[in-house]
Amino acid sequence: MTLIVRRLATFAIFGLVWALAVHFGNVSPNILPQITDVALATVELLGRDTFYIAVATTVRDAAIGLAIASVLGVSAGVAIGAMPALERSTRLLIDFGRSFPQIALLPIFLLILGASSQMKVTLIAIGCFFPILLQSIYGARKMNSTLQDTVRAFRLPWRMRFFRVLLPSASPFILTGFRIAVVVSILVSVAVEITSPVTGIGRELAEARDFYETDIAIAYAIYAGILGVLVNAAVDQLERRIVRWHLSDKEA
Amino acid sequence: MNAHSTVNAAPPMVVDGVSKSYGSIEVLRGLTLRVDPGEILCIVGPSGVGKTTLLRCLSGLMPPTSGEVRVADQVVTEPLQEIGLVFQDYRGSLMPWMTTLENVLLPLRGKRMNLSDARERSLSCLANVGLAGHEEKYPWELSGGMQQRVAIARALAYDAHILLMDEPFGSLDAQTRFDLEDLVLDLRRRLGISVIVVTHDIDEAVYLADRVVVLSGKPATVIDTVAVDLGPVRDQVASKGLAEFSRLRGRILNEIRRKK
Amino acid sequence: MARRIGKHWWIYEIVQFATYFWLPVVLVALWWFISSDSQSFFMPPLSEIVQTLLNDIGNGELLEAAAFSMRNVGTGLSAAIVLGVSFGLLIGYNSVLRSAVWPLIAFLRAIPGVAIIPIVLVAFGVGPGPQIFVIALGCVWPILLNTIDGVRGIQSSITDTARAYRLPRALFIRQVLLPAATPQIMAGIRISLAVSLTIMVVSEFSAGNQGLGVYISSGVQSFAPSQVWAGTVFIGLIGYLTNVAFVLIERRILAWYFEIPRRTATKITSIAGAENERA
Repeated sequence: MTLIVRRLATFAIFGLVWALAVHFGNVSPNILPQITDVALATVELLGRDTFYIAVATTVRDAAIGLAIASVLGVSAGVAIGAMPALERSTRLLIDFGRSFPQIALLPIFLLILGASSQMKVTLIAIGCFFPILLQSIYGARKMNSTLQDTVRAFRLPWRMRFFRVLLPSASPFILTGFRIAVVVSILVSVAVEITSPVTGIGRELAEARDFYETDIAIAYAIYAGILGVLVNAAVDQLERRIVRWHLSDKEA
Repeated sequence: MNAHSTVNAAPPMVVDGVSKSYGSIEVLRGLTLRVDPGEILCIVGPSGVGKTTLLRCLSGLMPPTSGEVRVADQVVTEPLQEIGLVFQDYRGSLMPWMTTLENVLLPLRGKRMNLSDARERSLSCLANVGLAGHEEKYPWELSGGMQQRVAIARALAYDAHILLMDEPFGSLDAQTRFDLEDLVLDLRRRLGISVIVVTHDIDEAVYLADRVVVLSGKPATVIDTVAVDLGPVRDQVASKGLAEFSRLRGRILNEIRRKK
Repeated sequence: MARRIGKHWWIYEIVQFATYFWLPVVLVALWWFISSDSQSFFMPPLSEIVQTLLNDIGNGELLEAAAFSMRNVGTGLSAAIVLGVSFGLLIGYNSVLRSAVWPLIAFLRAIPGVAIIPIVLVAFGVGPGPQIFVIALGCVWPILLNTIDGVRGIQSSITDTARAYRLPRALFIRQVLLPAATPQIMAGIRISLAVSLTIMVVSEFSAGNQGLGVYISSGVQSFAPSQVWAGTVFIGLIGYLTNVAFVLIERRILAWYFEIPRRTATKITSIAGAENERA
C-alpha cells in the first residue's frame, strides 16, 4: 500500500514541479506548455482521425520492416554463426554495419526511392537487421557441442539441421535480438517521419511543432512512448510462448 | 611499528543467550559461549543449522533477536574494529577490480591511516600469509587458496584480534585446505589472535580447535562443548593419527547424528 | 592465434589476416567497377565519391563539420554519463527511492529520444546548446538503467565485506559501488554511444546550419549526390572508429572483468563484445 502511495507521490511531484515551473517561471507555451494542456491534448488526439491513421501507418511500416529484417537477419545470422570461416570473413563488415548510425542513410534512400513508404520500410529493415543478425550469430555459435555431435552422428540433411536443430536452439538469442529490433523499428520509423515528408506519428509530431502546437507535439511523443511499451509487452507474451521449452529446460 | 611482530592479547568475546528468529522461524535459541584470548574455537553443526546466522550475529552484521554479544565488555551492535571477517566465498569477498595489495589496503584507507604506514603494514601482512611477491596480482590471477590468504591478510592488516571465519576452506581442495589450516594455527601462535571458525567439517574442527562447540537441532542450541587437548602445535599426519583425535571426532559425529 | 612453430609461421599469419579482410576488399572492388560507368544520377561512381571525400577532407569542410558534430556528441554523452551514473548509483543503492521512482523512469525512458528533437529544437532554436541537450536527454536512460542494474547486481558478500571493515560511505561509493557497477555502466554507455550518433544525425537533418548531417542534407538540396555519399561514408567511418576506440577503452578499464592479463598485447579482431550476448 505504501508502495503505491510512494509511486503516486513521485508522479505527483513530477507533475507539480512541471506545473509550478511553467506557472511561476513564466515559460512561454511554445517552449513548454502547461501540463494540463498536454493532458488535454492527449485526450483530444483520441478524437482525431489523423491520429489513428498516423499510428496505423507507423505500426504497419515498422512491422513490414521488422519482418523483412527478421527473415534476412535470422537466416544470415544462423548461417554465419554455424560456419566459423564465414564468421571470420564477414566480421569486419558486420562490425562496420552495426556501428553505423543507420539513420544517416536516409538522404541516400531519399535520393533513390523518394519520400515514400518503401524508403521508410527500407531504413527500418536496415536498422532492425543488425540486432537480429548479431543475436542469431551468437545463438548459433552457442549451440552446445553435444547437440552438434548428435547432429553430425545422425547425418541430418542441411534443411533439417537448419529448421529442426539450429533454429530452435538459437531461438532464445534470436528473440533477444527481435526484442531489441522491435524498439528500433519504432525509433527508426519516427526518426524517418520527423526528418522527411512521409506519414506517421513522427510527421504529425513535427507538423504540430511547426504550427507551434507544442502540447499536441508532446502528446504525440508520449503516444510514441506508449506504443513502444505496448509493443514490448506484446513481445514479452510472444517470448513466453515460444521459449516455453527453454524455461522448462532451466527449471528441470 | 609492526603490530604483528609481538604477541598482543586479544580481547575476550562473550556470547550471552543469543537467539535469532526470522519472522516466526526461530533459528538460534539461547546460545551462550565464550572465546578466551588467543583461543581457537570451532563451531560445528550440520548444514543449514544456522552457523552462518550465528556468525553474522557475532560479527555485528546482523542484530540478534535477543541476548547480546560482547567484546571486551563492549556490546556488539555493528561491526567492530577488533573483528576481522573471512567469508566462505573467497571469490565474492575480494574486490575483483583491486590488486592483492589494494584489497588489503582498502580497510586501512577507511581508517584514514597514513598511506605509507598502511602500505608497509599491508605488505608485511601479505608476507605473513606467504604471499610476498603477489602484491600486484588481481584476484582472478590467484588460486582459491591464495585468494583466501589475501582475505586473512586483510583481516590481520585491519588489526583485528579476533578472526571470524565462515566455512573458510570449504571450497578448496584437500591439500590447500591443510596448508591454510596450518597457517591459521601458525598465525595464532605467532600473533596471539583469537580465531572462531564455523565449519561443517568435523576433522577440520578437531584439528584446529582448542574447544569445539557443537550446534544442532531446530532451533539450534549448543549441545556440547568439547575441549581438544592436542597442544598448540599440530601436524596433519601425526595429530590426526592420535587415538585422542579419533575419539573426539567420533564423539562429535555421534552427537550430531543422534540429534538428527 | 599464430603458433610460432616451424619457420613458415608467417604464411599462417598472412592467411589468418586474409580471412578477415578478403570479403570487404572484394565488395569495395566490386562497387568500384560496377559503379564506374554508372549513368544513374543518384548513384555516382565510387571513384567520384572518393574524389569528393578526399577533396572535402583536404579543404577542411568535412573535418570542420565532423569536429562540430562530434563535439556535441562528446559533450552530450559526457553529461549523460555524469547524470546517469550519479543518479543510477543513488537510485540503485536506495531501495525505497528505487521502488518509488521506478514507474516514472519506465514511463519517461519509453519516450523516444528522436521524438523530443523537434520539440526542443523549435523551442530553443538551432545551435550546439539545444543539440547537446537532446543528445544528453536521449543518452541518459540506457546509462541510468544500466547503472541501477549494476548496483543491484552487486554480490552481498561484497557489501558485507565493506560493512565488516567499516568502510566510510564516500570510500564505499568510490571504491566499491562504482567499480562493481562498471561492467554494466560500460554496457549502457555503449548503447548510448549509438543513440548519441543517431540523435546527432537526426537533429542535424531536421534543423541546423553546421555539422555532418547538414553537410549531407545540403548535398540533397544542391543535387550533389556524391557529396551525400561522401558524407554518409564519412559518418560510417566515424561510427566505426568511435566504437573501436570505445572497445579499447573498455578493455582497459575492465581488464579485471574480462580477465585480460597485463603485458599481453591485445589484438582486436572484433568489436563485438561479450556484453551483447544476452539471453
